[in-house]
Amino acid sequence: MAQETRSRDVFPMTQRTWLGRAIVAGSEGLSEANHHIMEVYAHPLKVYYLGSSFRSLGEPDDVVQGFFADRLGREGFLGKWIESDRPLRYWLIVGFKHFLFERSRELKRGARAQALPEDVGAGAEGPENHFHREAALAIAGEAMRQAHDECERRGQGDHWNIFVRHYVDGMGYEAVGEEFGVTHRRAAVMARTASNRFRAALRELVSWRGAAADDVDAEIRSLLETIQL
Amino acid sequence: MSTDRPMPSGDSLSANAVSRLLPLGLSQPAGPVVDLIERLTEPDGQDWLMHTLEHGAMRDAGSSAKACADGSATVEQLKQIKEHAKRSMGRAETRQEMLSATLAYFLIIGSAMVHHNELLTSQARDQVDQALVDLADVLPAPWAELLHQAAMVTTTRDGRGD
Repeated sequence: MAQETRSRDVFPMTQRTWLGRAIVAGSEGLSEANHHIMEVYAHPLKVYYLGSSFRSLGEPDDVVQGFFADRLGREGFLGKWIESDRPLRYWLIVGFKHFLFERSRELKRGARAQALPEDVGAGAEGPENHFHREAALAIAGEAMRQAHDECERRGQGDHWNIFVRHYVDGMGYEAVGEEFGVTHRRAAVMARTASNRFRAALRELVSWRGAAADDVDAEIRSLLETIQL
Repeated sequence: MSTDRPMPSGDSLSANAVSRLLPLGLSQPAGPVVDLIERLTEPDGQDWLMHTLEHGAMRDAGSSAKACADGSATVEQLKQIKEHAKRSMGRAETRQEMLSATLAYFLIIGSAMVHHNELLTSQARDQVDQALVDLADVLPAPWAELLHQAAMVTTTRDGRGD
């Protein structure tokens, strides 16, 4: 069989992710995209902030919201992410660090200058690792939410519940089947359906413009590594 | 079949749970079914499906998609089409031939399970179920329902592993 290999060049200009499409879809889409980004990444950014030497810049919630207000409100910020051809989490953490440097410079020029450390956040890997770990948890959580909604929409609530029992609670299919009054084989089949919804949601969430299937796999493995560190 | 226990939809996931969940997002191992799913999910996937059902391996084997879907095809007819599809998969020289034969093969397997309670393959049942469920997810009606229902059917050969 002559297999066709999907490559980076197959759909070079196509927004294949929901987020990418929302960003280029006008103000309503951009508003949805911003809301999504804040929902998923506010906590990971806060964790980074609290672990960094920037933490004296202000209250974590205020600083993170200030970052979102400044950058997401800035024309072209997310458009530049699309052009960057890289995962969103890297784009955000780099943007957040720049924002914190800017804030610290502003404050240094003011009355609070003496309270700030000289080496604000430079080279600190620990907080960034924490950010990526929290981002992995948040992305998985968002994929779960979307997959759950899709199962509910299709009238597959029990498929979802069986999936959760098996993959989240760690129960075997024999026990899950017993709980739901189905055979273990049927439980596995139902979980597979929900698992497909989860896979689709997760891959879309971590994808970016021009990402090939292998790139998305690598990003998922990278997220997994941050969890297992 | 239901439970009163509230199920999480994503909040408060433990690191252990996420470690089990994230690998589910990885690409499936390459193979004819995965290739077929990719083809079906391309922008013109539905048009391709309609064209292939009408002109592909099923027609070549002397049957019709309708007969598979509505159960009017007999077990013997389904067995013949399945064998034809299997041979076509083995000697396919183009991607289209392979995709068409794979599509016919699994639609026939599903039809035989749902309408005749027969498992027409020696593949392990869990592997058959996975393929049926994955294909059901990307196919339109009536095929999605047929294949999903097939994955739930218990046939007389289940558990024998033959």
